[in-house]
Amino acid sequence: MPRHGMVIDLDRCVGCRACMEACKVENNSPQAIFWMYVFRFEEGEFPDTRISFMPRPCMHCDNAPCVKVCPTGARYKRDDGLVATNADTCIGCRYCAAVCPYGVNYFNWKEPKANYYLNWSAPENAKALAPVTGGAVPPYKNPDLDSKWGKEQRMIAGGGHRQGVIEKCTFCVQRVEKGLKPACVTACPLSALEFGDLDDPASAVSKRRRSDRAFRLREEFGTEPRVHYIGAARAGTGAREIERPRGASA
Amino acid sequence: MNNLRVIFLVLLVAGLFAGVIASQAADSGVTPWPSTAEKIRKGEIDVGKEYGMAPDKRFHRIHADTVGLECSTCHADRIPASAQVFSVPPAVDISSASPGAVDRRVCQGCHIAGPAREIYGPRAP
Repeated sequence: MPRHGMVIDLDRCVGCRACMEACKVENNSPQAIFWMYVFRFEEGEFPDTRISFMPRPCMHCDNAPCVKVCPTGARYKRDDGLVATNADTCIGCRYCAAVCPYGVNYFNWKEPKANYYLNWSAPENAKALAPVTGGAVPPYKNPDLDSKWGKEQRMIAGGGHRQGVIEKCTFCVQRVEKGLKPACVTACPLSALEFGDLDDPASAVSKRRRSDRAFRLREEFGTEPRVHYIGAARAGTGAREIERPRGASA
Repeated sequence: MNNLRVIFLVLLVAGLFAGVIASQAADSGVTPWPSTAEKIRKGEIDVGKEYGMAPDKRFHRIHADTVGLECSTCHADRIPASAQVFSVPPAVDISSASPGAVDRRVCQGCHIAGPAREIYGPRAP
């Protein structure tokens, strides 16, 4: 059984957010929900400023606090290390969101509206799309998300886009089960993201995480995250986050 | 006979007094929370059965009502930027009624090999 993990090279990341877009397309996550999010920081004062970026998926921790506190077992760790959420048994208590030191859990306060996923086959949309695509009709919603995955056959691939259910990055379990890499990894134009078996010393992810510049986020929590960062582009203590939504800033 | 009654009453009062003192020592001694946490785990303290973050649900009934944490213990007005980045998921617009972000390091005070259930682990070597 592989032990899946990810490496994110901050020196390569240019903050293009293609990973965020790919995630949205693959997983159809509702508005204002970002399973993958790229923080953008700036330091210094104009004109001496420096910008740095930090993609942040779920860390899929080996010692995941969210798994420990889930009262129903909806949040659980698979044999391959992916931390999954069974949308059918999640009761929306948000305990997982409360304990996560990385802020990766999103709660669906409202039922996601149908137009969050543009229905390309609807006549009005197809008409608007035709000049752009030459008549081709792309899928508007990933059918994999409504399937059940894993040996337990649970609804863990994002089919839980429903009111009262928590959701987060799945490492694209529906792709991993097919032997593919997560959408964010595939979409990165600079190969800043790598995914693979951490136990395989020959895997790209293992080789890259052996960098002496490797670190993990908030290790003081002892969560043993499976996402490893490498690079010296880490934001300094004086960095300010750009684009923080109103009300969320200190 | 009356002397026996007096002696019995004195012993009774003394016993009750000692019991009260022992109880107070247990509840307000050096480490009162382990006993509270233990009682919650055993179901000796009613914190409700509804899991949730709303003030009337189990989470706040444990931490605010039973343990007695002040709101500001967790909901600080200002927390360090380094901790704040992850305290709220990105793009979530907190309403003005929100009590404020929570620095998870506060949780570690009890939930890392502390008196309460261990949720976080020791820092990796």
